[in-house]
Amino acid sequence: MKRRFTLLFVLFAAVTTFAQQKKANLAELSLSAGDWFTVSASYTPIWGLGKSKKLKMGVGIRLNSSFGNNLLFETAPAKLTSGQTGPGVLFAENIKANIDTLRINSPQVNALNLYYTIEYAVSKKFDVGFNIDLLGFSFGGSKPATYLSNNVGTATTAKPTAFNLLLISDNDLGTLNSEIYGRYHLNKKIALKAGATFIFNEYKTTTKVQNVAGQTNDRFRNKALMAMVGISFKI
Amino acid sequence: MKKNILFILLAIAIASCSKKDSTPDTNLNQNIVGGTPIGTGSFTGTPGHTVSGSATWVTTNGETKLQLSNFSTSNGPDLRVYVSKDLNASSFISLGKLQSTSGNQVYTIPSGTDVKNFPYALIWCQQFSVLFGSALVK
Repeated sequence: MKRRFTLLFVLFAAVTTFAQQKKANLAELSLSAGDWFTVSASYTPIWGLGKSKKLKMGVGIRLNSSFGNNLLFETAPAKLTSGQTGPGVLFAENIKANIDTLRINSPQVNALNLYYTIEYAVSKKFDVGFNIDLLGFSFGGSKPATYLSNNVGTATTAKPTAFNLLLISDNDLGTLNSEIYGRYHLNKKIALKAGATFIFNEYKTTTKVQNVAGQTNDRFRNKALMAMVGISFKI
Repeated sequence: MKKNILFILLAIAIASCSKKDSTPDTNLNQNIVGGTPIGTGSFTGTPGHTVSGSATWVTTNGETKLQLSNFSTSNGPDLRVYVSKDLNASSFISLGKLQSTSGNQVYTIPSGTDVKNFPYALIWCQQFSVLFGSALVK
C-alpha cells in the first residue's frame, strides 16, 4: 500500500515540479455512450512541459455519472479472476471457473475521482491525449440484483463499491474512468474532443454471495468501451 | 464502391452472428411417457415476442420434469428455459438452452428443487436479459 501511495506522490510531484509558467485550467464535459450512458464533468490545471510546451500534464478532479440497463457484472477481485494479485495479473489468463455474474436491471454509479491527464499538441489547433482516474469515492443507490452461478439465479441487493483506486488490471478497486481522445480547438477558449472511454463500474453485494475454492466475494465489475464526445473550456 | 463493400461485409457479419446465436427451429416431438402432472399453465409472449403452448410439471420415476407442449416462440439469441420465482428472473434455475423454437420438449428439473417455489416457466434471452414469454404453472 505504501508503495502505491509513493507512486501517486511521485506522479503528482512530477507534474508540479515540471510546472512551467504556461499553465491552463481546463473544465470539461464528456458524454460517453455504449453499454452505459456516462456523463463526466472534470476540472484540471494542466502544464506545458519543456521548451515547446507541446507535452502537457495535469492532475485534476472528475465526476462520472453512469446509467445502464440490464447489465452484467463479473467477479472483480484479481485473486479470483487471475489467481494472483501481483503485476502478473496483467498477463494472466482468466480462471473461468472462478468467475460468476451479477445482473442489475438499472445500475447507476457516481464516482468522484482524482485523475491524471497527459496530452500532446500535434498542432496549434489539435491535441491528442489520454487520462485515467487514480483514486476517489463512489456513491449511488442500493439496487436489486441477481447473482448468477451454475445455472442458478439468486436475488440479492448491491451498492457501488465506496472506494476507488487504480492499481493494475483486475487489482483495481471501484469505479474508474479513462479516456483517449483528440481535441480540436475552435478558438482560444473552447475546444471539442472525441474519442473513446474505457470505464470500470463496480458494485458490492450486501452479503458475500460468491463462495469459490474457500474464498468469498462480494465485488463485481463491469468493463465497458464506449464512444465519447466532449467540450473543453479554458478558464 | 467502398460503401458497397462495407455494406456486404456488414450484411455477412450480421447474418453469421444471428445464425450462430439463434435457437434451432426443428419441430421436436419429445413427450414424457407416464408420470403424474402436478401443475400446468399456458405461455404468453411479451410485447414484440410471440410465445404460445403450455408448460406442465410432471413427476416421473422420482424426478420432476417440465414438459412444453405445442410450444412455439419467435427466435432470438441465447434463449434459455428458466423456472423462476417471478417474471424478472430475480431468483431462478436455468434448465438449459431452449432446444427448439417449436414442438414438444422435455427439460429436467435439478433434484432437490421444490417447484412450488418457482411457479413461472420463462423463455429468457440470457445474453440481453430479455423475457420472451412466460407461463404461470399451477
